[in-house]
Amino acid sequence: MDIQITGLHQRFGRVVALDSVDLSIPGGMYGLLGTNGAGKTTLMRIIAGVLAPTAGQVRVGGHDLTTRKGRVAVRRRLGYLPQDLGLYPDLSAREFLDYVGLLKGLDETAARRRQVGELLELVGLADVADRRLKGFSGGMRRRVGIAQALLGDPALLVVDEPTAGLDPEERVRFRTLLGSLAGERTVLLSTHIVEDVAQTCRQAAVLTAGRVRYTGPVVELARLAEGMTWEVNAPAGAPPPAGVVVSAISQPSGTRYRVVSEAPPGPDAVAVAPSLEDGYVALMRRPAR
Amino acid sequence: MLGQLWGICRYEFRMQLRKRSLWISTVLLLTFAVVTQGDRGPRHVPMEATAREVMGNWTVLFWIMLPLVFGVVLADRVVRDRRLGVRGLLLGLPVGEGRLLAGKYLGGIAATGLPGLLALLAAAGYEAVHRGTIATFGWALVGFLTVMLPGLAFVAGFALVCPLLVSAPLFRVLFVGYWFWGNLTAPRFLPSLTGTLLTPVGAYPASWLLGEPVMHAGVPGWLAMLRPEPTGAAALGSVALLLVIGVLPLVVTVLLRKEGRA
Amino acid sequence: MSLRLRYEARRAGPIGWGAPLAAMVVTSGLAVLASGGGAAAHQVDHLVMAGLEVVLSLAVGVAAIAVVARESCRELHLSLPVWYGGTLARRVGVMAGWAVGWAAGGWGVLAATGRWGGPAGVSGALVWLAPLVWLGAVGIVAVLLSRSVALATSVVAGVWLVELLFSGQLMSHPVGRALFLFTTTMVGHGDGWLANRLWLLGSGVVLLGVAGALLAWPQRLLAGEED
Repeated sequence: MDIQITGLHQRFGRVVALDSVDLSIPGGMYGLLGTNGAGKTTLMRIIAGVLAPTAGQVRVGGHDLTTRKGRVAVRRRLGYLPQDLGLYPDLSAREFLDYVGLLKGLDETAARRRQVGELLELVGLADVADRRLKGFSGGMRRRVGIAQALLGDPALLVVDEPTAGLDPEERVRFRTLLGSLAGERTVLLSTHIVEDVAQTCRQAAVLTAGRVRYTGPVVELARLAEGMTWEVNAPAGAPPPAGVVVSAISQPSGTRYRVVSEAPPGPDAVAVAPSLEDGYVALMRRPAR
Repeated sequence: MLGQLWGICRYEFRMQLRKRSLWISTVLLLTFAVVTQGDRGPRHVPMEATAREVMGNWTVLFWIMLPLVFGVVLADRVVRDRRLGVRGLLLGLPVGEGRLLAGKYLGGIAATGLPGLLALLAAAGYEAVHRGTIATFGWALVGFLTVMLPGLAFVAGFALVCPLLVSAPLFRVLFVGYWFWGNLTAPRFLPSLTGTLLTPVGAYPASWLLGEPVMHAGVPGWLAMLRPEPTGAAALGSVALLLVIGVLPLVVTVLLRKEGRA
Repeated sequence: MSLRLRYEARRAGPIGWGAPLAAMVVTSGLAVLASGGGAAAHQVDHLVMAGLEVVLSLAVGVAAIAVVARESCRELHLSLPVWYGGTLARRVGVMAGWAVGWAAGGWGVLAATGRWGGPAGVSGALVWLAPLVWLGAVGIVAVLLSRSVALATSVVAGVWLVELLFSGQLMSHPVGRALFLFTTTMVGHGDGWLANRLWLLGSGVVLLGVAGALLAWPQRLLAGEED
């Protein structure tokens, strides 16, 4: 299910959340990176048919999201995991999924319940399926969230900040699960955690202040920092080197910095291969066009 | 210690004052009251009436309606700490339950009292122009201190605590029903607290202010020992009782919470 | 009850189930108090009828606000193919149905024992149905417009109290007369009563339509409630 966005403009009163956004999202796993407040969630909500665009064209699987009919049509084939997913604490995981399944139009009881059981197995919650959601940890709640998104076997999965607040093990599990779901689906992953995109997506876009700064292969985004990524040791107490410090590791002899800058940040700086995070930082250093 | 209490009060005051629902609700209900005021409303008070009588009438008119807003607004001030996830943070801080609750109580009274006071002062301003006397401002202040403030202290104590037991929405339903039954219904028709020393609508202080029994003060009915003649001393007694009883729910809550925390 | 309706019934929550029940308990309690206080039988009957017209409508008005406002999955609902308004309508409908059940029961008992002081026949249901629908609709519109439970509850409570305290002023004005909630209790069911009930019902339905229209602004719903 492809997504075509042309000249998308979204305004809330005097606030411009999205400005002249053009994006073409093919199938598979697609990452959407950006700082907090970049407009990622607004874009997710528009693609999920929750909000109508103020101006511009948005087509998902050929459906025009500027029309109500188009938005309803997309919602029928959509799985959405919002950033702030509240759950009903008095329902069990199984009951919550059953309820969402009903609202998604899965009226046939036996088939719906079978699907709920399968999804609970998939996300590793089969053992606690009948426990009230009130007692679930953050990671478990997120897994319930992804399970409800998968009900009805959607062609488009939109997940907004799915790993925020999760511990490393949960985050890896989530990423692996999302990656395995791409297959014939389109999975749109919005996050400010670069590593999530690095590990799961081949294509990505970067949003800042409501505008698209980059679209293209993830490897090309990383390459933006080629020749600009350095590692340098600084003695204890010395100020950080010039450039953007990506990491600072304290050592007995001082601090080892990883820096993105045009010029070597010190005489003994060593050039290293850039990661996606370095490329993201290099992109952010460039003036916005 | 006092500094901490003052800080809690200040921030509670600030947070509540920023709630647009407090101001909009106040304006709406005051508008209802002013537009539909009955035969004894301030509109009908003769020109030769004293500033005391005029402002007494305005105080009674406003105070029939405003506690609805204040009780409804205050109902979620304590329960929201758990809902917003702040309670856990507060439990980890070196501040006692008593101080926390006292701060919410005092800050809440100040925040909800302010619109009431401003309304009275606005009425005083209108009457000052209309009747040519600035004494209305002084009597507005007296009306606020003797009728509104003690009633607010009483309502606030229960509004903050009762939702911990019955949930804020259910409390609001019961509170509105109580306000009518316990403060405004004629005691001859139904056994009620109307007209006793324990009415936060301020039957006794209002009677002192107006110089005649109002709001069924002293009318025979249920709980006769709480229905003395409406004198100045009775008004003072009513104010004291309202202030003391208003604090009771808070004291009980603090004791129970301290036990739970230990 | 269909499975979906059963889920929505659970979403109505303690307030949805408790408020109408509390109204009936309070009405019964007041009747017992009045009876013990020496009120005559017809006065007690009138009090029960007043409870159905006056107390129950307040309970439904405030409960409707809470049921509509109480939602932790709003954004998810807005992304589902089912219209969110329909979901809310089911939820409020369950609560309203519960309230109507109690009201009908009380009305039925009074009518069957010859103690019903309101209009005879089916129109007797309008005694409690009209104010219940109207005040419930006002509450729903108020909470959707303001996104504030406190403000919406204050509006419902304020309207309720003004109608009780200033009935004379309201009845002296044609609009006030048409939309007076407690005509049966405070004036009687003579001339103009039926018109009043029908005006209330009709305007209540219009208000519910307004509520449905407000749900077409997802931005407002996503902005969340005032905390």
